[in-house]
Amino acid sequence: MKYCILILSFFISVPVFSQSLLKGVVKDSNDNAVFAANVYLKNNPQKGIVTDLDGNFSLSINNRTDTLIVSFIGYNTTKIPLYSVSINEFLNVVLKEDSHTLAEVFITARDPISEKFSVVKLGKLNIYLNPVSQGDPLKAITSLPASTTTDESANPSLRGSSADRTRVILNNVPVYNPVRNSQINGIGNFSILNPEIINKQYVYASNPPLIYGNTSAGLIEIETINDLPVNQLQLSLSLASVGAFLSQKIKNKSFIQVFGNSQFSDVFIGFNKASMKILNSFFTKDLGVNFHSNIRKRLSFNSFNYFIHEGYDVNVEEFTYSGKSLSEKTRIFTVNNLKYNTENGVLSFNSGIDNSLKKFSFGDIVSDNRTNQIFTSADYKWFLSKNITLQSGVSHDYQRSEFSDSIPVYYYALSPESPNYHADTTIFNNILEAYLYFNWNINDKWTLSSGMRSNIPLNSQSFYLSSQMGLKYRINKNQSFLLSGGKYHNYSTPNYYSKKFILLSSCQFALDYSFQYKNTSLTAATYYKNEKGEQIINFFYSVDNQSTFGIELFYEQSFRKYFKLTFSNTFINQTGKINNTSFKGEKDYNYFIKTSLNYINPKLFSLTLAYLGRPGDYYTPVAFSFFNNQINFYQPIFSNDINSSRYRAYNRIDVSISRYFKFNKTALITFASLNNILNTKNESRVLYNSDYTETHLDNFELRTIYFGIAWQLNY
Amino acid sequence: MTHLLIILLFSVNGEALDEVNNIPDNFNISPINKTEISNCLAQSDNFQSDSLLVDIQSKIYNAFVKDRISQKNNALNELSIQLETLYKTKNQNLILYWRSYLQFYSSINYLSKGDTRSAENEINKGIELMKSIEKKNSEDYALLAMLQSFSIQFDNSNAMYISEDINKSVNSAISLDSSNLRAWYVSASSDFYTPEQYGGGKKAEKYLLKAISLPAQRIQNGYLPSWGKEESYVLLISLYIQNEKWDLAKKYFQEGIAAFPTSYQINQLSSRLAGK
Repeated sequence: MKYCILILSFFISVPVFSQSLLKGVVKDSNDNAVFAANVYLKNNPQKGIVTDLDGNFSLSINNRTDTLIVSFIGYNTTKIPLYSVSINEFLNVVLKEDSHTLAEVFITARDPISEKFSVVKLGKLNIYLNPVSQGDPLKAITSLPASTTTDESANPSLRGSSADRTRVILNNVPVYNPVRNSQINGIGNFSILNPEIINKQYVYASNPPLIYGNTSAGLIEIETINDLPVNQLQLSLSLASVGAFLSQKIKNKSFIQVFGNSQFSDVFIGFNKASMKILNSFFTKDLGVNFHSNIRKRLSFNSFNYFIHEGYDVNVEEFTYSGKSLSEKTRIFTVNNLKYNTENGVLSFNSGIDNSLKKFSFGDIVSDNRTNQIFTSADYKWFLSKNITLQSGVSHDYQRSEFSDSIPVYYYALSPESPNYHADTTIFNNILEAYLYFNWNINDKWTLSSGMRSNIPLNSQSFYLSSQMGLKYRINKNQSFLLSGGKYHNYSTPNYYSKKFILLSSCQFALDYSFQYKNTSLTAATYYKNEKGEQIINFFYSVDNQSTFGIELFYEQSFRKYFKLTFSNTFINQTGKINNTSFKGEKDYNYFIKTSLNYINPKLFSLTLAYLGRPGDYYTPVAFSFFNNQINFYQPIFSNDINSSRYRAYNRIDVSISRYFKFNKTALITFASLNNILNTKNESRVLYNSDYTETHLDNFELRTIYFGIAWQLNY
Repeated sequence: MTHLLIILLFSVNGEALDEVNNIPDNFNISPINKTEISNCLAQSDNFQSDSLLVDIQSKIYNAFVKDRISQKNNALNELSIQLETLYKTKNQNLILYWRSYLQFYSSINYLSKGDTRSAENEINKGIELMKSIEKKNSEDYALLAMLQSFSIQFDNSNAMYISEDINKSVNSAISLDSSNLRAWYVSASSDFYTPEQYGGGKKAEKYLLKAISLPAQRIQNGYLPSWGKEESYVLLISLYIQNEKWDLAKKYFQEGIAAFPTSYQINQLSSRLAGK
């Protein structure tokens, strides 16, 4: 009997002896402990436990045929058959982020490595609610204190530099001349970009990040949307245009956006006859397609394609000739990006093709300009650690410009009867560059970035090396300082006056301060830059050395629920140099005030009153003239004192109003704007009579009214 | 919101009801379901030394109630300090989550006392904490959306920007985990309180039905959030009452009261259904 009891007790005790304690730790792929992860057995979930703050767990096991399950929010559930585990062994469980979390991480990884060093970041809403943007992404920039665009165009000029030194980058690809209705001098009223395709727009007012090349002033980095929240159809009709915009989701978070506009001038000119005396007609027809596809979990493709055909007919006075200026331009460009997210980085291939043909005529000038640009680049952003990111890449930018021109023999004799000659000019440039850029978040307060970019000289080019360093100090969550400096290079964009690619350079230092607390924002900046390289302004004027010192101040205050006041002022001291002669720079301003009062009440309407005031631009007057009897034209002799005269102060007040009506899935937006409401005759150019003894002045835009309506369907 | 605060106060102390009028009508808060937590504790037989975080949702709520009674902010402050201290040694995102959650209650506490400035500071601090989490999961986004929705009352001039942020947070919460009932609840809440002329009130019903069909937690876990289900019932019944859909209101009242028999908020709605 004793033996029976012994044998029985042996069998009874088997399950007791087989019960063991499994100990282990749960970590993520970065070796961080996962706290509060569920650890349980598949067939006995009630006996589950939760990991502690160090990711540790210990679980009683009594059945080696069961399966251990470890799960936590945002991670793939891990299943481990118990037979494969040694009970005495300390178990290390590594949880991997699930695909949805990874997708979120990939979206974050898309942010530019230099993001912290941009002065301003604008979203779609910022563009629409901007007091002066009129819904145009690049015009929105003109309200910033750093914008020194003075020609009422959308082509951005930052901190006193010429627009040709500033680059607009769309999805890692430079877009040269990003404006519509551009004139012979490159001035354009609106940009070619539609805010509906834009996710973020970063503005680097100084020290452009060297992940991009070919800029020696500032940089506007535009990123198209990577997620479409809702399907939308938008139809719009205004005084000067009719348009449609369709955003349509396709499966797997892919989407397509198609838009087209036709711009016409009759109604707009009819409404603004008194202010549009020189404008006879204009037209634009454009079509854009933006396609985004998430090919695989880690692989995405974006293609933006744009076609535009535009033209204008305007009466122009140049020197002593007055006549019709006709222009017509056809342009097609495409920007394509392929991105692959690796475990700890992002690999991207980018390409851009931009072709255009522009025909222009005025007096004895006839110009056909065909341009081709092919841009390709490959970049890799590598997240070396939680705090250090490294980016490197190569780019090749091929630009070709073909001019077929009838050029005046005498630049001041422009009548159709005046002598001219024909010249065919073809120029091209290859810019092959490589760069390295790193960003180090030293701690919560300090971030350091540095970059180097050099060309690989081709076709007898000179070697150059651009380099930069930036330091950001975050005092607290409300305040930060940004100190940056560097040396930069770019090639000028050829135009009718300058048919060559000229290497330009700049040396810049800037200190930016930002404060934000509740409803108050304050930014201040001071900067100095020295720009070198021959920069041709027109036939008789070019600058080869320019230094600029500036101070900026911006204040924004929201108050009484719906009101917002903005005020900015900029002081710029600019000196130009030709050979050893110094003179006042064109953008030398004691003040440059931009202020706006906004009332934004979604239940009623939005109203904006904006004022811009600055001293007039400097110009070089004609000192005297003599008669050229060969052609019966007076030849002007310009004063030796460059920029010795100045236009009267520029003042302009604009008002705009919009109302948003929402009806279930549809919405109606009505908008109207009255520009230059005081009809101030702001002087833009000095003009002369036939012997240059009398002057009169050309003006910037006079009072104009514009209104329209847009209908939206969200589905 | 006012009536919800009254309910909460009444459940712990029938007095001190007259200071709650400053709370906006767009927030729904309730204590955690005690039954769920006790189940959770029972099944987790090996809780270790992380006692502060065990049942932390209830601890925050209880501190809030205590402060409401005392008319101070001591209990929440004390708990906040403890969480902050713990975070310094254990750098876990979940601690940030609960610190943010606490900020939400702290903001309500100040608001009910008429101290709008402090209420705004508290909710903004909560939003900052959530934003500081680098890799947010669905729960993080859901809480962030709730805090952002609450903050909109303090900053009308930026309401459009905040609405955009709320939509982004809600969409991220749902896309990361479509079975997270809090994501659906916050989404419904946002829609419910958006005026009809701006497209609001159309999707709340669908989202709330989705929310109540989901479990408070997939696997019960005392460290993780479980709020939202009771609030979803309250909002759904209120929606039907508002639209005079009495049969549906009664149906979900019955279902809600069966799931949360001690819920004062759901019980309170019975008076509005009487005789319908």
